[in-house]
Amino acid sequence: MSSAAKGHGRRIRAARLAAGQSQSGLAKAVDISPSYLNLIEHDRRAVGGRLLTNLARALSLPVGELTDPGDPRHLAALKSAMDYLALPHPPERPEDFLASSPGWARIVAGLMERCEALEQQKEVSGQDGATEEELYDLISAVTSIRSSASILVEADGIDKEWQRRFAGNIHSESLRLEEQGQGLIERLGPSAREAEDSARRRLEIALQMGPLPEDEPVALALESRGADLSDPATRAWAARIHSDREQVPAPWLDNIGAEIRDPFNLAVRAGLPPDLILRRLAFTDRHARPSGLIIADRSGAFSLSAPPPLFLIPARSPPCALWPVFDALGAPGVPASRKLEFPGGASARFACHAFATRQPSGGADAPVLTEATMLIMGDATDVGDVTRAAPTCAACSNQKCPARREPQRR
Amino acid sequence: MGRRVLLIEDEPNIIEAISFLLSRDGFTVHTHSDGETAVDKALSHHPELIILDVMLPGRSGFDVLRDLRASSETPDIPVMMLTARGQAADRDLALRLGATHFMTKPFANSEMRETVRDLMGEGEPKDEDVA
Repeated sequence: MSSAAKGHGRRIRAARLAAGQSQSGLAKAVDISPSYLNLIEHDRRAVGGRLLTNLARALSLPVGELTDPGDPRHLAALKSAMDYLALPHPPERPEDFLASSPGWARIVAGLMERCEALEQQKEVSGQDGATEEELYDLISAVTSIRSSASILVEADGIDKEWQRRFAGNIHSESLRLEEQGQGLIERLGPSAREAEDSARRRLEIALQMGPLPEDEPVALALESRGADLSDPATRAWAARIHSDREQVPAPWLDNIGAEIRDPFNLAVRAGLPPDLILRRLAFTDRHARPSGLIIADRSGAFSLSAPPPLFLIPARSPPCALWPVFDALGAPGVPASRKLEFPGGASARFACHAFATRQPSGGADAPVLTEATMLIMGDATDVGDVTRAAPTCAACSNQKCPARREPQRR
Repeated sequence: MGRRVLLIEDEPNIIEAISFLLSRDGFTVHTHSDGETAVDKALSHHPELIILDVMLPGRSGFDVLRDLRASSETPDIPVMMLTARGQAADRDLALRLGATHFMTKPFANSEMRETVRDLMGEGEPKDEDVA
């Protein structure tokens, strides 16, 4: 008898008991002897075909309920539960429990999954638990120092012996504080990931220091501003800016004049990709406007944030949805421009131009990468429509903004 | 001999500071640094106030408090809980278990002295306020 068919008997028995039927009553209903039904229920005789159908009808159940062996995951979870509890004598075999009480088996399986998830969470947060203890030690050291120092400063007539003792306490607790602080820094200090982010941050700061002199090699200029040229991503950016310079020589930029207001038209006129023109304008010293760049990937995350002064990028909250970089992400290949005014008036007015490109990352099945480039240029003039915006909704006074996500915090 | 305070705390320098402060205010301070035997100490010394740290070796201050409140000899003795964990949940638990007062570390010496005086039902100290 197959193991699947073996379960039929257990399930029939469980269903009969759940329905409150006696063995003799069910046997009579399907025209078999009670002893034969007993053999079936204990899986000593196979059951199928018309008899199985009749049994299902007598039990008011679909046949499938009597033949379904149950979710194998539930069986695995029940076995895990038995191991977890280290039961020397389990009440019944997990297969029997699953067959006789599938509903309860599902509940037990769910509880076991939850239990395992909590155990995993405990393992992960075990390190955080140790950190909490270290922080508690820090607070205790601070308490000792504060109390002892207050006594020395404020208590009148304290004799020299007590002065010496409290000064000694302050000294010893200071050393403890230093040791524990260093321990925490080592434990919580920069990870490899953060080291990468640190190199990126140094690059962004270098780019935000002002336009890159056209008569200075890009790598040298970045390095002199503190960028980490040993970092591969930084070197890639240096190479990219250098390549952009080769495609759009500086003298060409000297002649654009007022056309700087429409970089997409410039791109068409030059027969060059719009994102290239945006990058070129962001970092050159051949125009007087404060400028910068944001690069976003398909998820909306910024892979490079080098905006001009006063164009703030929020550290934690999601940024304003009106920034055209998000328009561009939503419509690759379509230019997006918007003039934004942040809180601060004309000095915080920016002409923003964005363009997104799509590029395959590999073969036909590989994901297509989207990169959106947004050029941000200071533009204190009244030319063009201005949209009131801000780094985030919380900082924005534009109450009529259709994209507002949260109320303004005053 | 002044009124008795039992300080249950395992940080030696905090013990020294609090003992110094309260002794100068005229209290007699006994100290104990282990959670396991803290209740026994309380029962043997009959303090009029217990200052009880939450984080103790052996047993937590919450467990000690629970036992103090369950004991027929110390159900009503004022207990000030002391902890670096200032979360509302800890405060609520302490008060639910019967703590009379809850103070977070680090504390101001003046706050410690004033609270002890209040819990002991005393006014300002007779000598000049020193800390």
